[in-house]
Amino acid sequence: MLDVSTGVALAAVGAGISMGAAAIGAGIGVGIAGAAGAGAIAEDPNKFGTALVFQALPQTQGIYGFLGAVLIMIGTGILGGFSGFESAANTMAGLTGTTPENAALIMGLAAVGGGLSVGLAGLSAIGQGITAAGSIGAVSKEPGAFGKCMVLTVMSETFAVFGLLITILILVGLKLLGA
Amino acid sequence: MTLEELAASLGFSSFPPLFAVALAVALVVGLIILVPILLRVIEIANYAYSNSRIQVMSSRIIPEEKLKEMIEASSLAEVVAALETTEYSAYLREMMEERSEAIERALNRHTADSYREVVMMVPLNLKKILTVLLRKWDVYNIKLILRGVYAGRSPDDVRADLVPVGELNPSKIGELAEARSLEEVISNLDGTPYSRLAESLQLFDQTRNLTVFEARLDKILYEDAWKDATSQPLDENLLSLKNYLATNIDVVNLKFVFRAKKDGLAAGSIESYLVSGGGLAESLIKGILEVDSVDNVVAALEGTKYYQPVLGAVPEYESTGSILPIELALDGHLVRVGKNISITQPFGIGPAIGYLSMKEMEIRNVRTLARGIESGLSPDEIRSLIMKVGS
Repeated sequence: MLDVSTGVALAAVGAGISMGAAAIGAGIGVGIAGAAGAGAIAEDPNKFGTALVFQALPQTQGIYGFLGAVLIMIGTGILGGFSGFESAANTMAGLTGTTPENAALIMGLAAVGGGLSVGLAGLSAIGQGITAAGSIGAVSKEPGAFGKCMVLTVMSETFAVFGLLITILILVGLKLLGA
Repeated sequence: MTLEELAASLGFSSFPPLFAVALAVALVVGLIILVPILLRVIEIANYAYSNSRIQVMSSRIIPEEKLKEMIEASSLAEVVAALETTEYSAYLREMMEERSEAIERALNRHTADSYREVVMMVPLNLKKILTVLLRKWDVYNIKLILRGVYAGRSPDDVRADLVPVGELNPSKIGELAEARSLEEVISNLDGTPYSRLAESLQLFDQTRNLTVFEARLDKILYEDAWKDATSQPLDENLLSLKNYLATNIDVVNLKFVFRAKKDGLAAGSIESYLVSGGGLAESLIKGILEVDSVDNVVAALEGTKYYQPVLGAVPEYESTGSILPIELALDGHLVRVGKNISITQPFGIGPAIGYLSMKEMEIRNVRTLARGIESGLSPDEIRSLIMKVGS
């Protein structure tokens, strides 16, 4: 027999995956770009500006993960504890004509799906960090390549944006947000 | 079917245990996929710092435009002034007089320092590979000492020209510079791979030509390096080293063959000097040895990567009668290979190989330029001696 607590636990897992996986990606990406930036600065401190811009790019995935986690917590009502979640589950049950227990489970699984989407998409920051590191080297050697390298580095961002978008669509589609 | 019914049909008492098992399976599969990716990421992260630093160092290599301006200089003072805006400035400040020799020494000191820095900053696995490449400077130093001793230069004078960045201990190099005879230099090489130079002593006594030792040193250097690069399982870095060494060996062999053919030497007298290994097939090398002119060597190279660069230098060879344009084209091709490795392998040994080869070209060009201006050569004459990144 299901109770609401399973849904709460799943919603918490979803929010955790959203932030945690995205933070792993962003952390590794920023770390790789930062190491390359440190190398460039060790030779020429004037390269700090270039290094900082490229190092900042993989950080955005961490922000998306944080945003995804907050949206999941707001949508499922777990920010208000058990009672908040229960209230959201009852609202959903009323809207869909199912039992509150089933609604709680659906909300929990939606949170896990949404968390996986933005969290795993956040791992794209690793690839972005690698491109950023290569770009720091390339721009240090050829400053005129800044714009082109920036375009190449930003490419990985697309997938992180898609990941966040799917999370929002899941939450909105199931009327957990904006209902 | 509800989730509870699905769980029951799969033998679970309720949905949560089914979900836990599904999550565990997903985690294991995820780890199997992620672990190799993470290992590769860690490997890349190892190179991020050093390679970015090397790229900045490469950006300081004198650009072609500046070199062109320096060629037009009317005196060494102008060359020194132009070099003041480069990373050589600190080294030039210690220069006591404006002579090409003093400029060369400043270049050598800077080279030694920057190579040492590169070796220190790269990850451990690259240190071993770079040491193989830096052995070139051991051979450079030994050749310099042999020439110095042969010409009766003072040990201090010889020592000032050395670039002690190779595998040999700097104190060992210093000890070699103290020797007063060629035999003493060679006997002091005991315990190093270059002790095999003793086998060439008899031939030297017959010919009194230092080329005997120099060719032998190149043979020892490249054959040992080739053995090192090919005797272990090839990873990406060793593959790049092998590719670069193969071009190096081919270039050394081809330069030797071109010069020998220009001087009309027979195949038998050249063969023993050639370095084994490299990218050219043994049958092709044997075929080249049998031809009787420089033009036929060029024709025999058709179908190899050296054909186009050499072909481009043939008109200049024909108009001047000097083999130098062909040698410069081959050296330029080697730099191009180093540069290509640098571009295609940004996270690995690429930037280090690219830097070493571009730096070598820079030192050689500034040295040529300084000597040329000191000897009163015209800008056109100096231009014909300058090496460029080849095709």
